[in-house]
Formats: sequence, structure tokens, C-alpha cells
Amino acid sequence: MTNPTELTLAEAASAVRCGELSATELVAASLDRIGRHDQVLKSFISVYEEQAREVAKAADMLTRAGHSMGPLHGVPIALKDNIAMRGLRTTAGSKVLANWLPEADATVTTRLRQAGAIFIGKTNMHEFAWGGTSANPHYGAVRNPWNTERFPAGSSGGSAVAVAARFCQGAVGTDTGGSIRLPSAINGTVGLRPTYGRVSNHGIVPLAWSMDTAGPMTRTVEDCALMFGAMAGFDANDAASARRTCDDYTRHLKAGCRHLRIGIVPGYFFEHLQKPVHDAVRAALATFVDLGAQVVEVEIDNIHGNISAQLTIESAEPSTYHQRTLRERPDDYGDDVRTLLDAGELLLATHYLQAQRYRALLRAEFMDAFASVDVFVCPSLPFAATRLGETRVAIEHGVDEDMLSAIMQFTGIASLTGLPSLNVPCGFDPDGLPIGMQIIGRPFDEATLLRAGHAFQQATAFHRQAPPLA
Amino acid sequence: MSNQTPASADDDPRLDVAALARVADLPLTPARAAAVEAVLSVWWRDANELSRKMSAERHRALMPVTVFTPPHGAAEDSPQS
Repeated sequence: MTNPTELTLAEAASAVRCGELSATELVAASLDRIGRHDQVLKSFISVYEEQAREVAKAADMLTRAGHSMGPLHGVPIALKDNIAMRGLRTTAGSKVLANWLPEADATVTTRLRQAGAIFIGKTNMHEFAWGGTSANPHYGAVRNPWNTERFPAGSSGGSAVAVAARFCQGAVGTDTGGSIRLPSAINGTVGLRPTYGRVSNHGIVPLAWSMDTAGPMTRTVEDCALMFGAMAGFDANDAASARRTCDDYTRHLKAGCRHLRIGIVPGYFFEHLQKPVHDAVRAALATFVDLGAQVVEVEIDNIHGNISAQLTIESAEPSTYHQRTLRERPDDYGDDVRTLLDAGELLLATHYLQAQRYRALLRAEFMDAFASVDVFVCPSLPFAATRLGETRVAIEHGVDEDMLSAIMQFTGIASLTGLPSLNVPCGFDPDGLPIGMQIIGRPFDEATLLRAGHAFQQATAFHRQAPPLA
Repeated sequence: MSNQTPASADDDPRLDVAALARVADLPLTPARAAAVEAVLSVWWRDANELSRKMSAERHRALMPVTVFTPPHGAAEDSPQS
């Protein structure tokens, strides 16, 4: 039989359900692989070896008795370490919360547990999710499994690496300014930033309240749909949770993308990016056209300005949340995050509110555009994985730019507008490093993103390639 | 620079971060103030540009994306909301 770690989430869940594979074997294979490779990759902060084996035994007993907990029954899943698990250390990648033992599960933890997921561990991340490199000063720098000298992006770097390295079938990430989509693109995995309010943030350490989301990270779009279905839904404990019925995200997954109208913004989506990224996303659009979709050019007049708006909001809100701790325990923050938190305190209220007004403007333009298109497709970020430790990146020949601003070029659109966005692997650069594209859709229309992404994966093989771990 | 022309961050990106930090009651060593200034000098310039854009007459009616959300399940006239 295939090595269990090579199975996709859908395949693994089916094998466990049919009794072809036990949850105990699946969990053991995951733990073994983590033990062999994570000393280098550092994708986990905590691994729940004993607990995961015990839960797997219980899952197998249920299976033998003819019961299934749900669509994720017996499948190893990892949680980003800013998501609460009752009684288990939840650090948010920080020294500040190094000894925090939550008294209750986050809502997503509860929902995944109820769907049958087995939590294999908690993943490493950029400290407090405030940054895009996952170079964590307290728990080690996460490394990219495609080339361990390259960065994994972030902030959910550990979650993306754990999935790409076949340590687990799925992981949960959080995305404020791109923290699911960026590491998904850089590590060649699928990641969904849901519509703001679709997945509960209750029990998740916040970064920026008005943009925070949590979502699934997997190898395939089908897996993403399965996991998302288990996570999504109204939660009275989250004031921003949407009172809206969820779709069945797997029901129309195989309906293809014939007649799908794909919007592009030529003056922004294909400007200022590395050539391999440009070419891969253009080739992906050609694939969609081959599948029966139509590409429509759209103008979004006010798209420029989104990076500044995002940086303003994403710095002012965390600085508010951390205001007291920053004064009481400043030395417990890593240097880069401390600088960003200091800086966020010194922006003006007018800067913040103008940025929030800009969001309304940008959202209105995108909502108008959805009269003529069903989704937008654009790169997830303008460059492939940089060397570990870099804080600057060259996108255009000979011009170095600040990494934090550059990395947000395309992810800010969905973050600011609250629209859902799915990263799908769409190519590799000449060094064999993954490239990803975003499919951005209407509010609460994740089903269409998943349908388009699944059709793309049925026509391509990028998602089937695995990183060459020794 | 002329005495009659008020300086702006765009004209002179060197910010007095230490003074701003004192206003915010945020203790910063000179080394930390320098690190923050390197970040803020760019952020302020871009934020000011966005503020100018959003101050245009055509955007006057736009409301910021900030909402008061009543607790779920609370009645419209509930004191908590």
C-alpha cells in the first residue's frame, strides 16, 4: 500500500472509513515523518505524540463498531499555534504566551474535533502572526521543504510546511494580510482565506480584528473543501461571525468552470512581479480558457493604495491589542515584531480611519465588478521563495525592496475587502520553487472558488509534486 | 527651507520619533527610535498620500469600515447593544 503520509486528506479519510487503513497507522506514519524531518524544517512548536496515538486508537474502535465521527474521522490535522486547545500550551509563536494553557478550545478546534480530526500538533509561525517570514526568534526559523535555505513565508509558515512535507493531511492557518495564502503559494499547497466572518475567530489570538480570518491549508482543493465544510459556520461567541447558512462545499466541486468569467486587472495583476510568476499565472489563465472559462479585463480605479491601507490597519490594530504588554514586557518580543508594534502606536487616528474609508471604496469597486465577472485570478505574491533571513527582495532587476510591503502586493485586496481568496499552486520557477495564484470571489461564494480550483487541479499536476526531503 | 513654508513628512522624512513616543507614553531607547523611524518614514509618507486621496470631494460620503455589532442573540433594544 502507498505510504499513508502520501495520501491526500480525502484519500486518507476514505481509507480509514472503509477500514483499509487504521487511524493508528496513519497517525504513526505522520509522527514518524515528523520525527525524521522536523528537526530541520521546524514546522511544529508542539507535537502531541502520546495524545494523538490515544485518540487514533479510540477512532479505530469507533470505526470497528461502524461509527464515524465525520468527514475528517481519523485524519491527522495540525493547528497553528495561535489557536487555543484546552489545557495545551498555545504560544502564538511568542515568549509572552510561552506558558499559556487555554481553559477552552477555540471554536475551530471544537468543530474539527467533532468532525473526527486528530490533532497531531501545533505549528510554528511568525511571532503573533505579525510578519511574513516565519523566522521565529523563540522557536526557530521555519524552513522551506523545497529548499531548506529558502524562507517558507508566513505567518502560517509552519502549517504550510507541515502540509507540503506530508507531516499531516491538513492544517489550520490564520490570514490577516495574507498569512494563509502567502505560505501556501511559497510551499506549493492550497490555502483558503474565507470571507470575513465565515469561520469563527473565537479562541484565536488576534492580530488585527477587522481583517482576521482562519482557514484550511491542504494539498488539494478537494481536501480544502472537506476541511472548510467542517470549520465554517455561525458562532455566537464571535461578534463578527456571519449569520448565514453555509453551502455544501463538496457538492458542486466537480462541476467544472465552463462559462466562468474570470476577471483580471491588467495594470496591477501583471505589473511589478518576477517573470516566472508572471508567466505561470498567465499560463494558468490559458488553462482556464481551455477548460471553457472566459477572461475579462476589468479596471479597478482605486486599486493602488491598498498596500499602505493594509500596513496602516495591520499595524494600528495589533499595537492596540499589545499596548499593555509592550510596555510591561518589551524585551519578550522579537526585534522585528517589537519594531512593528512600536511603529503602529505612532500612526495617526486619521491615517487609520482614512485607511478604513479606503476599504469601503475598494470593496465597492470590486462588488461592482462582480456584475461582469464571477472570480478574479491574480498572483498570490510577486516573487518566489527568497533566501532564509532576507528582509529585502529584488522583484525588478537590481532594485531591492522592503519584503513586508512587497509581499502584500496582491493579498491585500481580499484582506481589505473581506472577500474570500483561494491559493492554488500553478507552477515552479527555474529553481524548482513553487508559484501560486489566488482565485478571489464574491462574499460567501467560497464554493465557486473551490470549483474553479478543483477544475484547475484536474487539468494540471503541480499539486502532485512533493518536495525532495532527504 | 523657507520660514513661510511649513515642513511636511514628505519634504523631510526625518521624523522626531522620540517626541512622538513620549506623546504616546511609549518608552523608546535611541536605538529603538532609529529602528522605528526607518519603518515609519516610509509608512507615514504612504499613509499621507492615501489620506490626501481619501480627502477628495468625490469620496466625501464614504464611511470607514468600522461597525458596532450587537451581541448575537441580543434584542435590538437590549442594553448590551
